[in-house]
Amino acid sequence: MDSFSLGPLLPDVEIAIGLYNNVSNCKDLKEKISEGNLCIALVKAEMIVDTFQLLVAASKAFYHEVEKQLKTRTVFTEILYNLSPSNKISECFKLFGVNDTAENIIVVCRKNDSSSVRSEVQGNLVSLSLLDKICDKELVKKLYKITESEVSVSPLVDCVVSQMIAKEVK
Amino acid sequence: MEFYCQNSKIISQGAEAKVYEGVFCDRPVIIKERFSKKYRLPEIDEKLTKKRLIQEIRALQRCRKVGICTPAIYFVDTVRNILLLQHINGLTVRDLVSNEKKLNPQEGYANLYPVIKSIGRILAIMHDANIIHGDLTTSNMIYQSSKESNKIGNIFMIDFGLSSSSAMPEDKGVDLYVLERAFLSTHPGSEQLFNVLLQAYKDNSKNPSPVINKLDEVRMRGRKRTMVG
Repeated sequence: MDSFSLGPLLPDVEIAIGLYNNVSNCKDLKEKISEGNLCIALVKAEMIVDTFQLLVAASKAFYHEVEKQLKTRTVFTEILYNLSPSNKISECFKLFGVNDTAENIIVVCRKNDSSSVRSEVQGNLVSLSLLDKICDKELVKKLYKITESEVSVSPLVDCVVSQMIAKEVK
Repeated sequence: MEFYCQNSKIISQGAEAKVYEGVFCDRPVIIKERFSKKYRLPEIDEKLTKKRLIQEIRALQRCRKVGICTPAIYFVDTVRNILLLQHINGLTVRDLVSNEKKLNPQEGYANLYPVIKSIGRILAIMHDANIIHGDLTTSNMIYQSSKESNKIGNIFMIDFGLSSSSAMPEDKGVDLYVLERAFLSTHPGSEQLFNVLLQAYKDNSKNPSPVINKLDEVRMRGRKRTMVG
């Protein structure tokens, strides 16, 4: 997994992000998360254009944790919520969460937990650069309501993160 | 807030906000912090500051949707009124025009016509989408040159804090009038340049005549609407 610092907003927070394919135990992982035994976010890899998209969602989540402004139960569910262009909480899990049989997933956790998290996931850890191939860009455009005119003047990841942040003032 | 701005350099302090350069997740960013004004009633001050932050985000997004270059939004803190935006590498149109005058004083501004025409086109698209910028000046446009030498670059529109949404020719006319005044006072002798911009606006706008008529009207009376009658 690759680690990232969330400075300057949160100089003390470091997170790890890993992209996995051929994952076989999503159901297990999800159960452990809901029991509170695993502090990670599981994200549907097809919905992620670039690592930066995750960093924006995670920065906002950890920031709102410090500020006591979380809208969902944990900082990790908040990451999924922040990824979503909609303010409906239930919708974000459907759109960005993984289903029991998902094979391409992204795991986000605190850096200190990354070695134990790695032992939990049964699948191949691959380079985050493969996101470019795995991402379903047409679906992403549709979901975030990104117009062709917008993509013509701005990289897709910038369109996506702007939409993610702008939902706060909807 | 000081912690946003660790290792950040203040680059401008306006009447509404302090603007810093910084880094966010390895990307260069602009940090815009709207501060409270002590001379205003606290209740009004808070409302106004918040309203402008929200208006700015909305207008930036609406412009992006219609294909106008604006900085991407990376983070917002609606409690402290802080906005993190993509850092745009480029030159303000103000500097572009001033440099041109220094470099080629004899040629008028003919070298800038292609860029100025694209500004006219962008404003037409913006007004067709009923977005009123509210503070059009040559400092609020950033020219980013193209990597291909035969192409003109992109114009990024910034600083939408005073923006609003309106379909009225009056508001669009005032928007253009504010720009005209800014243009002529910042760049003396640039009447022809502004005319080129206006012509491009007319050529690209879906319905320019009511706006241009209003512009003429506003030129006669000034920006404030007459309340007589």
